[in-house]
Order: sequence, then C-alpha cells, then structure tokens
Amino acid sequence: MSDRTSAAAPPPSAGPREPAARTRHGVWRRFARHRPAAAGLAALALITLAVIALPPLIGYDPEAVSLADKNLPPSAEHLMGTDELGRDLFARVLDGGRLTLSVAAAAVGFSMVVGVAVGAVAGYFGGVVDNLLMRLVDIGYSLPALFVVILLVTLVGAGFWPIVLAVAMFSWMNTARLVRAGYLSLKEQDFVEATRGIGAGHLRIAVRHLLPGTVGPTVVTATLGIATAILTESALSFLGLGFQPPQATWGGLLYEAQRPVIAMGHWWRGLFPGAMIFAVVLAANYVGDGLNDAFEPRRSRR
Amino acid sequence: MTSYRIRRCLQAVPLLLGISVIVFALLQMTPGGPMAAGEGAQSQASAEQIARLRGRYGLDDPLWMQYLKWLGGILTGDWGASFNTGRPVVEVITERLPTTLLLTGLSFGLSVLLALVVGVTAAVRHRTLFDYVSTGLAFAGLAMPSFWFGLMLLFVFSYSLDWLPSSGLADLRFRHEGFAAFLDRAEHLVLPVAVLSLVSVASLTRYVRSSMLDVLGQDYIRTARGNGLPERTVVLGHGLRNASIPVVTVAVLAIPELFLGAVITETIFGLPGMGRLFVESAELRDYPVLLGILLIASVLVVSANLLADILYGRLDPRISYE
Amino acid sequence: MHRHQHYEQDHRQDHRKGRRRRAGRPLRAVAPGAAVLLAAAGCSSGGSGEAAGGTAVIALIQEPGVLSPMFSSQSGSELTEAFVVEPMFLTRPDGEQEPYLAEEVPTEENGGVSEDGLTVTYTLREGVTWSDGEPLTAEDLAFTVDVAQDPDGAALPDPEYASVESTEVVDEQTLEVTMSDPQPGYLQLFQQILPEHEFDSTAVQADDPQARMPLGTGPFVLADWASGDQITLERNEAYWRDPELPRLDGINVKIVPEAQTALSGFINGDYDTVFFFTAGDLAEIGEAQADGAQAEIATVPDMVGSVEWLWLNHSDGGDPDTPHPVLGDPAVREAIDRGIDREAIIDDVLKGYGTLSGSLVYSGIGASELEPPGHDPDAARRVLEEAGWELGSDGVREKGGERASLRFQTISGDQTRALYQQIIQQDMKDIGIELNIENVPSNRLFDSRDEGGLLASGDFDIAMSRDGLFPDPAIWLEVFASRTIPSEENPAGFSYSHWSNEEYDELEQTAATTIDPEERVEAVREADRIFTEERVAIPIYASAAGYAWNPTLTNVETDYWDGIWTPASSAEWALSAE
Repeated sequence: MSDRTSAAAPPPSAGPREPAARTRHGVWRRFARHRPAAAGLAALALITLAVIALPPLIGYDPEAVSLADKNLPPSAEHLMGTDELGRDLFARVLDGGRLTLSVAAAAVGFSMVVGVAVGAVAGYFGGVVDNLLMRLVDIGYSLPALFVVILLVTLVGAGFWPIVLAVAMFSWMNTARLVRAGYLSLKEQDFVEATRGIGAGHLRIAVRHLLPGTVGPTVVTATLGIATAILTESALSFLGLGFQPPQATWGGLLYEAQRPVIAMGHWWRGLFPGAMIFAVVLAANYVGDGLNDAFEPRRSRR
Repeated sequence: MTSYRIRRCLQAVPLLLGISVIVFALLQMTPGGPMAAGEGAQSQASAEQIARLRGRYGLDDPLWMQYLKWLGGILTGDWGASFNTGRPVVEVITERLPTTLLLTGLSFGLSVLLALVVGVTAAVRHRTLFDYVSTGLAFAGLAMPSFWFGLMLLFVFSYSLDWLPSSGLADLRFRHEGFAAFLDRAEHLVLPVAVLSLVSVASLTRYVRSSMLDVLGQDYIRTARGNGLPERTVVLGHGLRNASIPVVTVAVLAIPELFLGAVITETIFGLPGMGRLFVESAELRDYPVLLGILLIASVLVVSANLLADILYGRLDPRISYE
Repeated sequence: MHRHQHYEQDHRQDHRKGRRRRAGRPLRAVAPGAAVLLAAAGCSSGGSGEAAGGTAVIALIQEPGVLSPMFSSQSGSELTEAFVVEPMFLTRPDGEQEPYLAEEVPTEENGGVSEDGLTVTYTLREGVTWSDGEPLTAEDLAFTVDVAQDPDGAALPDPEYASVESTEVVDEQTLEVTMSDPQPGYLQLFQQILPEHEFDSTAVQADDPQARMPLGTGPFVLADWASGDQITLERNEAYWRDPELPRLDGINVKIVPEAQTALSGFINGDYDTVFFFTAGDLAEIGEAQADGAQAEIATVPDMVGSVEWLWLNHSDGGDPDTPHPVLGDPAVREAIDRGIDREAIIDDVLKGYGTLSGSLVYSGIGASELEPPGHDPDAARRVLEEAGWELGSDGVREKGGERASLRFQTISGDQTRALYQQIIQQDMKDIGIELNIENVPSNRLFDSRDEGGLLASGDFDIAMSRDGLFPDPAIWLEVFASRTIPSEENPAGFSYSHWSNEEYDELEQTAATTIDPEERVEAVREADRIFTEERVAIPIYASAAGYAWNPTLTNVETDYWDGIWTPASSAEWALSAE
C-alpha cells in the first residue's frame, strides 16, 4: 500500500515550506485551478452527501427481502437492479457506501492521530526516541499488510472496530514519516529558537508552532489514505472476511456478486459496487494530487 | 556509500527479529490458543491425547522458550508441522510456491515491459494525445480495485464470450502436449496475470514517464541532441539509462506488492498458490503454516526494501539513520 | 466428517464419527424430493458399450489433511470411500445391511451372532485382493480392530470399536469378535479395513503414508497427491470384482477450495462432477441447464437429504440449570417455528431442491415423516402476545425486561446459506424477534468446550447447521441426551442444545441397547414425539437428495445413501465417445 500511496503522487519532497506559500488563500487558489482535483472534490462531496441523504428518499429498504422481485436487471424502478432476495441494489449500494466511507474515515482518522503523534515525537526529540520510533515504522512497513489484516480479522472477528483498527494499522507510517521530516527540519528554524528563548514548553512548541507546518503533507496523506483504506477494506470484504450479512460494504457487495456475475451473468451486481469504489478512490487520488500541487508550488507539474 | 549499504544490511537483522516476535506474539494471543486447530490435530475426547499433543507441539513451555525453539527451528529449516495435516510446513508451502512465483513473475515481467514501453513513449511524446490518454489510464488503473477488474473481465471473457476459462491452471481433462500444453497454460494465465498486473503497470508507467521527463529535460540530453546523435540513441541510450535507476528501484518495490496482490487473484481464479493457502490456513487456524507464510512475505518485503535502498537510497523515501 | 465448511452434515465432535459411515453418509444430497430425471443421456441403465478408458475429472472443495477415513475427521477423505476403500457391508435404502466384502451378514439365525449377542462372526468373501495383489484376510480385520483401539495411535475410529473386547482369527476368511456389551451397531464395523502388511505397528500416526494415501481393495488406487492442486487416482489393475472394471483409466481430483469456482467450473464443463454439491448448487445448475449448460441432475426418489436445523440454546450461557431467558419460553420456540417461511426458502433460494421436514429422526430406522407447521406469522404473533411478549417501540418484543434479541450464527462462507439466513431474519423481524447474524468459521462453532467452541460452551443463541441423516438413529438420539450435555465435568459433551428431559433419556437408552428391532423403533418414535413437541431444535428443510454430473460421464448409478459416491457406482463410470 505504501507503494501505491507514494506512486499515486510522486513522493512529495520532505522539505520546509516557505511560510508565504502556505497561506490558506494561496493553497486554495492553486487547488481550485487544478481541474481534476476540484472535480474530484466535488465528486467526493456528492457521493458522501448521497449516501447520507438519499436513502430515506428511495422507496426501498436495503434489507427488505422481496422474493417476487429477485434478480432483476436495472430498470426505472430499480436503478441498479435487484439481488437474489429481491433487495434493491441502489439502496444497498448507498447503505454500503455509508459503511464503507465510515470505515475509511475512521481508519484514516485513527491512523492520522497515531501517525502525527509518532512523527511529532520522533521528529521533535530526535535521538534515541527517534530511532526507536522509526524502527517501529520500519516494522510497520515490512509486515505484509493484507496478510496481517486477514489474520487479525479472522481471529478477532469482523466487527466495525477490529476492521477499522486493522486497516488503520498499515497506513499511519506515511504520516509519521512526513510529520517527522517536517519537524526535523522546522525545529532548526530561528523562530523555534526564539520561542524557546521566551520559555515556551516542548508541548507548546510542538503543537502550536510546528504542527501547523506539517498540515500540508498530512492532509495529502490523509486523502490518499482514504483511498488505501477503502481498497484494503474492500479487499477484505471481497475475500468474505468483512461484515456480517445483511450489512455490507461495497467490497462485501462484490463478494456476494461473484456467483451471480460469473455463473449467471447478472452483471449489474458486480458493476455498480465496484464502480463506486473506483469512483471514490479515483476522486480521492485526484484530490490528493491536487493538494500535493497546491502545497508545493515550486514543483513544476507535468 | 558502501558503509551505508552495509549498515542497512545489518539493520535488516533486528528488523526481521522484531517482525518475528510480533508475528509470533500475535498468533499466541488468539482465542482458543494454538490448539484451536482441533480437527486435524485430533484433539478430541481424551485428556491424555490432548496432553500428549501439547507435549509434542511443545505448547507447555514458557512463551519465550517456545519462541526461541521456534526461531531456532526456522533457521535450521524446521518450520514445524501443519496443525491441519501434520505435514512439514516447508513442504506445504513449497508445494504452493511455484504457482505464486509463476503468477508473480509473469506479472512482474509484463508490468515492467508495458511500463517501459508506454512510459517512455509518453515521455517522448509529451503533451500529445498518447501522453494524456496513457497518463489518464494509469491514474485510473491505480484506483481500480483488482477484484472488480477481475470480476468484470471474467464476465466478459469467460461468461459472455466464453473465450477463456474461469479458473485453474490447466485443462484437467486432456493432457496436452508440447505447444498445445503451452497454449492451454497461457489461456488459463491470461486473465490472472492481467488482473494482478493492473496496479503495478499503472504505477510503474507513471514512474517511468516522470522519470524520463525529468531526465529528458536535463542539459546533457540537449547536448547530445545538439551533437547530432539520432533521437533514438539520445532517448534510449542516454535518457533511459539514466532514468532507469529510479525506475528499477520502484520496480523492486513492486515485487512484494505483487506477491500480496496474488492473494486476491489466486482466490478469484482458483489458483493453488501461497496467497490462497494463507487464507485457507487462517480459517483453519493452522498456525505453523500461517507463521511460515507471514515470515516469507516479511522477508520478501524487507529484502525488496533493502535492495531498493541500496540501489538508490536517495529516491526511496525510507528512513535514513543519521 | 469435518466440521469446517462441511456441506452435507456439519458435524459435532468425533464421538459421533460413526455417522460418517458409508451407510448413510449422504455426502451430497442435492435434488428435489420428487423423482426428476433430467436429460437422459446415458444415465443409469445400459450403455456398457461406451468407450473404455479415459480420465474423469472431479472438483474437490474440501481438501482433507489425510485421505484415510479412519484417520481423518474431514469430509474430503470420504472421497476415498467412493473409489479406493470398500466396506464389509452396504446399506440398503431402508437402513438394513447387505454383504459386500463380507460373505454374508451375521445374524442370530445364521449363527453369526451368538445368543447373548456378545460374539459376532464376520466372514470375508473369497478372492478379494488389495490393489497391490495381496489377499484380503481376517488378519486384516483383526489388525483394523487393533489399530482402532490402540491408545497411542492417531486413529479416529467409529464408536462401535470401543465395545470390542477381543478378536480371534478363526481362519483366513473368518474373524470372531467378542463385545463387552451387546452392540446393535455391529454391522457398522469394518467400513474401512486396513491392510496389515502395510504397517509396522498398530500405533499408527497421522503422518504415516498409509494414513495419507491408504491402500484399498476398490476400483481405483491413490497414485499421487499434490496438496492444494490435485489427487490422482489410477485404475486398479488387480480389481477383484471384475477384470473389466473399472472402465475408466483414472480420475483426476482437482482441489478447488472455492465452492463457487468449482460450481462455475462444473457448469462450464471443466469438471465432470463436484465432490460436494449442496442444495443451493443444484438450484444453480438447474438454472444453468435452462440456459443450455451441459449437466445432468439425477435425484433419488423418496430420498431425503440432510436437514438444516436451527439449534436453540436452552440454557443461559451453558448453565443447564438456568433456562435461556428468551428461548426457554416454549411460546417463543413455537413462534419461531411458525414464523419461518420455509416454502419461500425452498422455492426461491433452493429452487425447489428441498423438502419440508418436521421430525427428529427422518431417515433410516425408525424414521417418521412429519411435516412442520405452515408459515403463519399471525399465529406466531398471537402466541407471543399471549405469552406476554409485547411489541416494543423499536419493533422488538419484550417481556419482563428481556428483549427478544438473539444471535443467529452459522458457518461463514456459504452464499446460499447466507441468503436464507437473511430470509429467516426478515421473517423473525416480521413477528417481532430480532436476529443478529454473526457467522463464524466452523471451528468457532464446533470446537470443543476447552477450545472455546461456541456451541460446546453454550455461548450461543441460535445456530444453524445440517445434521441427522443416519440409517441408524442411535447416535443421533444420543446427541440430545442429558448425559452428553457439555459442562465442566463433561467437557467432551456434544448435546449443544443443553436440553434435558428424563423421559427422552430413558427412551434414548432403550433404543441404544435393545437389539429387538420393533422395540427399538417404538422407542425411537416416542423419543421423536417428545423432541418435536418440545421443539428442542427447529428443522428448516431437508435437502433434496440428488447428484449432478456432466453427461460425458456415463453409467453413473446412484446409490440411495451415497448417491454416485460408491465403489459399486464408480467402477462402472465411463466416458462417452463424444
């Protein structure tokens, strides 16, 4: 996954940001100019809104079994068709989207917190602490993510938090690294010396003065982290190791779709949930790309 | 540089040890413990039988001793016996390894080849339609879940068109000879390789392209051109050569990704590889096998990272220990 | 049978291993109750003019650890019983036995069974040889008993072996077996005979090559086993029954752990058949047939496959003295029984490949064919209301502060099951009972109490699995006897229902010890009646007994109990010239 993250946006240089370029105004403007990113953001917002707001408006309950309507291809009544139990797929996709996005958001949130904490501590204190923590990061990078996630979920059970934590476990490292790098360079700067001179404590310096400097890369990593989280959780669910029925995430819907698609040709079962994953991940990647550009104006974009 | 390399190599050792400890600890902390793989280990009825088995698997020793015993075993080639079948873990894993290696190897080869061709061409034809389209596709490829891709491919090529088989490595009924056997094998591998390569092709292409663009913008390229060298030589000879180092680095990093991605691909296509063995063993709680595969995979990741580091430490955003 | 993802009978502890005997191991029952024989291409009678030779291809979903049934608790090893290992006796549809490797069935009339019922004489047919050419003798029989009883060995023998006190080889063909108690299951012995000449001692370990790939007398020989990939069976050139048999040159058993992949492969024509189709699979094959796929489905008329049960926990968390707060109320159990729309499950999910079943003992000796109550949600609601379960604001009923909210668990990974599980969930929602689905791998459910198995620990509310298809009901009845309730003192217990009833216990004992067939049937029927009235467990449907195979495979006979998976059938299989 780390490979994918770093590949989606060629590695941002872990260097200091000139304070001037960091102004919110400047960042936003550059971001908005990056068309695909803006479109991506809009798409994400739209999808999020849809999964939250639309379900009550659709006539169908995602869990309502209605055997008379089973296995129908997409139509005016059932925009995405129905499944073997007659449940409306559009409703299920929206429902699944809520779950998928919640898991992703929670996982990313969690990994952000951990990543920032670890990176800040490592970068700020340096020395032995840094070494130790970076060893930890190394291990995190070296453990085969999917394998351990599968193992964890199989052993502990497929509940919301186990899955969230399992997924989060493998995405905090990038954040930690970047935050640490940011701290390492920023802490040498003059204004830090000055602040310390007037007696500010470590925590204050670390949080109030240095942390904001790392917002840029952190936000980028977060955005890309969402993409990774969704893909990891979907893979997990696709292997049948995710949430219990009738709850389903998009990956879980794909798991249920295997038989209908391959053996019975019910293509709609596979197309829509997968397309949703694709759309969100793509949008997130674009946004991440755009944010990357926005925070690093020096790099000439190709 | 050499001392840096040596240092990195040495650093890999405690890393591996750390990983092994974590892995071992993880598996010990499971509900039911290592004996939960009841079935195969025949841990039914009598308490004596259970006690006997505990002794045989060394489960009554203190934890650190179990770990050391296990670690000693690993290093001397004894990876324990599968709880499920009683067969040596090494044997079980080795049986499944070739399939995964075949799949991963082919995917790697395909990815590198395609990435080079498309990436270089896109860089050379910068800002043309080809460039935009290929970049767009690469970007899309990164976002696409491989299992969705696989499912859709299966729908089109296996269900609808019936051109390709939906699973397995070879036709079971007829034992094809010679060329026919090759074709048969190829038929069965086309889709899995395509699916597994998806992400690595996409990311490698982007890297090749951006790397080439970087290089092509350099002065010495312009100089070479100015000197009258044919474009081809300039691009391929000078350009590619210099661009290839970072590319090789990223390519090396792609190997573990492919290995892990094989879990999904092997599952969709019913291939008897290590990835699928892992999932099966997880369900059976066959810890020795699980530990074995995890270790192999970790060693692979660490080795790949190490290699990439050594090849081009600067580009690879790894931790450099100052 | 292995508990893990076992389709036909998910099973409990090995105590009941006896079950998995040929006599009644309805491996894959799949087919509707009505006799429906589709596509007549060369199925059953005639057609011995088919081309000889060729290799059949079978997909195996559950790869076992070892292939010798005596050393395996997994269903995959039963494959060996279809091709390699042959039994002394075969079971007839009514549950009675007839001789196969045996010369005759020992009874009291022919002197095979002594008057006190303790000594049984087994005689082998003459001229039977192992596939390596060695003759099958009574020494092998005696050896088998020794291995089964050796405490240092890894054998998982049928429980009947435990009653054997001593054996005596009278001559090459005859073995006298003396039991410690009268054992009505004496014909269940020797479903697998071990070749003495292949072993060093009776303490056979699980890694013994014979445990892995056993030698047998059957039409095929285990030639090779590439784990995770393929098991190769070759023709037994020295097959004792008939020099013409088997017709096939060999069989390639391809290991395909994903049931769905195996099924799709079968529909696509990659495999001739699959070891372990389930009811849901047949339904899908039926649909594919309609689309033009080549497949044959044969059903065994009047045969009922394994029943899918809802196991109710009658105890509160494993303590049999405290009744379950919700399920302990008979009204709730009745409501559940009436609230399930069984017909919808059979028609829509199983596509008709299932029948209604309402009795405990539904197969073999002492079977009754009761029907369950019809789908009547109104009656269900009424029963609940009258018992004091009032509808709460969230749609879930309450009584005395207790919410009717239950965990509903089965073995994960089976798509068809997941479907009707959700139908049941919906049905229960309609009458005000909340079911929370929490599927787990089969280890979690069926592991012993010490290992933390949910059922054995009493840590469940409702669990669903298949069970009960046996020609002889003794062990099945035992499953619900109080003495087998798992507890601290009895960790190996397997009465997961945690239910106890004195009358039932008495009847169960009678059935286990009486040799007189009529008395036994009486006792069995009475016990059944009590069980059904109390709704100890609730049956959902009985799988239809049917099998499916590719029409290129001809001469496929279906045995009543084991379908196509018997040596009698497999020896005859041939590939048509097309």
